[in-house]
Amino acid sequence: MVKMSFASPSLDNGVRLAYILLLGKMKFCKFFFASLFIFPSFFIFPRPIRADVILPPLNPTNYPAFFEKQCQPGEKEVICRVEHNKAQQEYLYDECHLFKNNPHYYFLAAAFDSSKYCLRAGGKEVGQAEIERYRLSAIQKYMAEIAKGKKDERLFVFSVAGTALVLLYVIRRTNVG
Amino acid sequence: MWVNYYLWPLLITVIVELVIAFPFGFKKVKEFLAIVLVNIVTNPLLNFAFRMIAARNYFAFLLASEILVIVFEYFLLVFTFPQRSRKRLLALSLVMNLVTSVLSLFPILFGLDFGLIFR
Repeated sequence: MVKMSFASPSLDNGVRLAYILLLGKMKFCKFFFASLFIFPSFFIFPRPIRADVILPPLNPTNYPAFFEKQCQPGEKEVICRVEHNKAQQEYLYDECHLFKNNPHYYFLAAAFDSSKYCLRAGGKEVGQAEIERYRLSAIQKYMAEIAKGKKDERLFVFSVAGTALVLLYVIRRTNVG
Repeated sequence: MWVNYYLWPLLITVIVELVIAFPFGFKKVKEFLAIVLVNIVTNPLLNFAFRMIAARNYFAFLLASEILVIVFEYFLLVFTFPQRSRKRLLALSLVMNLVTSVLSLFPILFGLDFGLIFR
């Protein structure tokens, strides 16, 4: 008769643990450890990113003064907006920032999330490329801030949960002991 | 600060669940501590999920997450107190989480704008 023996006690314990977890001699332990992996995995996997909701253009009937005001003849009118991530109710960027402190433009009117500026005669125009560059950098900055915040939060939540699990294990040891 | 989003719900949930655990025979300090720790595991994880996942159907998401929490807390309780009756622990997990989730609906139903407090 062949008698199986393990070479080292640690291997013996490892095989026993694997047996408990995988073959289910102690069914509860198997479920418990499985749940430890399944439950957090719901939160670790990346969520689908939703596209930002673009706010509809202003309604002239609600903001008549904004639409009535016109730039002087020969001046170019610009309407800029403060963009928000509506789903998260977070500030995204303020493209009016490009015109606010620009000596070539002057403020004309504002309504809700939009402002109207006029390009002074002979003034240097802010090009579309510059506006797009500003938007892109602002969005990248916003995304970086969100990512950092989420990373900190995730670290906090999982550290706290992990520490609590270890302490629960200690309580279990004292209970069983 | 986002930490407040986790601390207040956790604190209120722990208080409510400790009160519920008392009639279930959880009277020792060690047992109370275990209830607190079980909530420290599940409550921040659940609040994290609510912050990260923009659910289309809020109540369906709440229901699914509550079921998950009941099961997970049951496992944690059985793990911590293997000598106790599993039926009793399941009942405890069920009652604790049902009460806190019903209470969590009050701010929403009454239009108070401080989101979910209990979970």
